[in-house]
Amino acid sequence: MDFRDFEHKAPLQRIWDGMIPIELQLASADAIELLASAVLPEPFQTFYLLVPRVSYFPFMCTQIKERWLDPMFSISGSRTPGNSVIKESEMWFEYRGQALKWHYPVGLLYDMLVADVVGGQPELPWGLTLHVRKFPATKLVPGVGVQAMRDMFMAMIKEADFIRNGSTKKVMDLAKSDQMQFLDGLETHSFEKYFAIRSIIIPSQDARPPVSARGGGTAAGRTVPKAIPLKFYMQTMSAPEENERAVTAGAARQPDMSQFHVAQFPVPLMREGSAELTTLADAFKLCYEITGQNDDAFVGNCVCLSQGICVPWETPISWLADNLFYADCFLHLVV
Amino acid sequence: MTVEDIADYPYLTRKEFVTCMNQFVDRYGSAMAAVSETATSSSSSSSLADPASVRIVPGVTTPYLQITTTLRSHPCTPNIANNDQGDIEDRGNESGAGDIEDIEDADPCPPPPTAQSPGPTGHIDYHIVYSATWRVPTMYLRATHNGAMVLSTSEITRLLVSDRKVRGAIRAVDFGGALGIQDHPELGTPFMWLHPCHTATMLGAVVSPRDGVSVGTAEYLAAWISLIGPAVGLALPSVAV
Repeated sequence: MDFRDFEHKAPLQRIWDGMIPIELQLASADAIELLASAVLPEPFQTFYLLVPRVSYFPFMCTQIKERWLDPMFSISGSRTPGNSVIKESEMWFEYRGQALKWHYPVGLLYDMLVADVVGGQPELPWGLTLHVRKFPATKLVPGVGVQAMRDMFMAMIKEADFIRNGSTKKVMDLAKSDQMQFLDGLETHSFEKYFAIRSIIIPSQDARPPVSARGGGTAAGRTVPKAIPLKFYMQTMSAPEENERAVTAGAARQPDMSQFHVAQFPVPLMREGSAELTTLADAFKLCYEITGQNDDAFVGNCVCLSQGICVPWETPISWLADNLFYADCFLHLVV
Repeated sequence: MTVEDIADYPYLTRKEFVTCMNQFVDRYGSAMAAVSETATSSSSSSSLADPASVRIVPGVTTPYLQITTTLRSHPCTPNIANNDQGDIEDRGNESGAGDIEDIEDADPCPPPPTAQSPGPTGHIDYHIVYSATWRVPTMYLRATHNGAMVLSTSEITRLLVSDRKVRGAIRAVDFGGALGIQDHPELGTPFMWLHPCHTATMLGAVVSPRDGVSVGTAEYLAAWISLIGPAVGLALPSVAV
């Protein structure tokens, strides 16, 4: 089944097209340093941009600088030319006191940090503060920039390849031009360019679950992956029981980046020793080694969010892997 | 201690990794904590001359191994993060070794005579964490030098790896070099990290079932550290088996 087949393309295309509107303000400390004023000149006070969920902040920095910061400085005339030098490697984003990890996809950060994404009125546009000074190198990986982002991204793709196929051969064998096209497709958000190369790494997308549980190649030419790359981002408190209490009490708290625990586990497509497909709940239990009965109820009380969609726990992982993956071929699931 | 076989060598399960850690600490823990009397300053890596603390940290999902040792470099090694060359703070390590009185220097100084041993300028934390994806241990590290955390991979390599050829080889690996920066999987803060994709191949090359050379849980981590340790300046003392 060719990925261009309309019927199967629709969910993929819609996920790819998912955007988050962002309203950016410049940190007042930086504004004072660069412009001698906490208030920015009239048309430049806020900057709006639409960022794809599957993309990353470092790819936006150039346009932010060229379309907002540079014109602002040349029109307003900053104090001294030397002071207003802004380097992309020093740009970082903050949401309500949280420094945003630049190597996380934008959609993931939104799902993690914005309250009420599930069944509420989530904040839109997403109000962020841009900083251009005092990069917090102990909290954020330093050296941010387009090339560093590309390297991180390719490392994730290698890992996804290894999990799915048992080796990194497919990624390592990509021609240089293919690799460039892949990255270009991501950076310019071009569905065609990106997917053309992705289908080399992950051959023929078939949205239907495999007919035969015995694996191997199927008539549709689909190879069954060894395991599915995914990451759970679980908001933790000290114990699962406390978590459950907070959920049932309907507590709406401001999520804190440091409270999230990230667990990564390659999940097999089928339940062990059975012909059934692994569900999301199975994956979660495997990852966190949950086996008790009480813990089953705990899972039922949690909500799993991916790509802004509340995912039912019984969904087969194979369907999720084919449709809700992010650009790095991983499923990022916020719990 | 019973040496257990590893079911799918060189790959480990989480449980096997925990066994390996425990056996490693049993075998090497005290040797690493003791000061080595015979180490010389010329070619041995920093960690042989200094005591290193070795302990298992519980972590959230999996326990990991932490080895802390002293960073030694020549007193005039410029610190990119901190321009203050005269300011050398000894963060030391948990065993409390290292004296700094002989290092103090008010002026930027010429390269020291080669016989002089490098002084302690900071400390290095090595965290050995299990990777569920690659099913091998992964090396994460963080170093402080002259009072500040080292933030660039080229700086770390320069401080920790004295052999130029090894440095070149590290940089030549695809996608930004073998040494990168990643969030620590248990702590969530940025650490230096060694790409684990070649670990399995290297470990596989060490055994020879035909000749009866195999690696069980008791030797696994030692073998792993001796293979990848040079890339990050970590070496092991020899111990009686």
